Amino acid sequence: MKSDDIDKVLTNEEVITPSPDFLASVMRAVRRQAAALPPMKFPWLRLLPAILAMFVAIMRVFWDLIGFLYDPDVLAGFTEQLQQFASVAARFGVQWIVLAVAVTALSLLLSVSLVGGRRDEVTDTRLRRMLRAAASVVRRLR
Amino acid sequence: MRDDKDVEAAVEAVLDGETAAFSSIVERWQGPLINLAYRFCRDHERAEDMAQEAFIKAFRGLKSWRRDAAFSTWLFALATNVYRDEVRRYAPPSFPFEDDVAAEASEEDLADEADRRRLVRTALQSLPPKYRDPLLLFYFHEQNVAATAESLRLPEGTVKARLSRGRALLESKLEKRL
Repeated sequence: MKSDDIDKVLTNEEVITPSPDFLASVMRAVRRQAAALPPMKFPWLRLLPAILAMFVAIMRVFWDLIGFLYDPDVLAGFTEQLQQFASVAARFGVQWIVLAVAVTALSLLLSVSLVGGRRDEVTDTRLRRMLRAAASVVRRLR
Repeated sequence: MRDDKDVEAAVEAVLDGETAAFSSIVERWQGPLINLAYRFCRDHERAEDMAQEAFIKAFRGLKSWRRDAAFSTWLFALATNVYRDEVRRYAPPSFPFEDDVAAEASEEDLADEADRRRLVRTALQSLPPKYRDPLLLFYFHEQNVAATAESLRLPEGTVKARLSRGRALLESKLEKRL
């Protein structure tokens, strides 16, 4: 097959005519979009003082930490405390606690992502499409 | 509503809260948008879903249309973006070109025009999106490189290079089978 043949095929593609109710369907969806309340904007301006305060506090902690780590006595005490913590953790089986926390966090994230998704025209269309794709895969497998 | 001023008037009306004015935009562009979607997915029903999604996104983002570009340019770029995302997310269940039609195709089979068309389309769909999308849009825009570049929001030089590489890949795929 030559380049010209490819050109001919791709230039003369079949033309699809919109369904009679396509315009009405789009306008229904558009009207629903227009009627829906606009999403609330996050109040960044109100939060600004809190963000600034948090930034100052973090800088302060960071500054203190640097001073703290330069003191050899404090450093030795810190190492000792870490060792104590490690021995306590080993006694209580900390790996199981970490695992339990991880499983809880994972299930929480999963439920939030399943329930918290935005339901609108686009999401509905996608869900319909996913179901259709799944049905077509099942048909092919048969 | 071929006149740009009519489009601008409709957009202004929609932005002023007159939602019904959007119907003239849909009426004017439904054919091209559905046909473009169809070239991406080769499924009429799905093409309409994709075009509807593009229109909804256009309605939501109407404010972002800057008057320095034609409305059609903005709309096609937006729709192309929607279609590429959709095809990437929900790729149709299909087999690779080599395992599907072409494996069974012979010169006799391809004597039939419909089979030749099917083979070329399957080969095109099997290309990597980087080369498939410029080719799809290039033929949709009646072989206009500038319009293709605008729809893909890419420089013309990049589009030309991808078209050239895409065509070479397409030809080699088809030659191998014949």
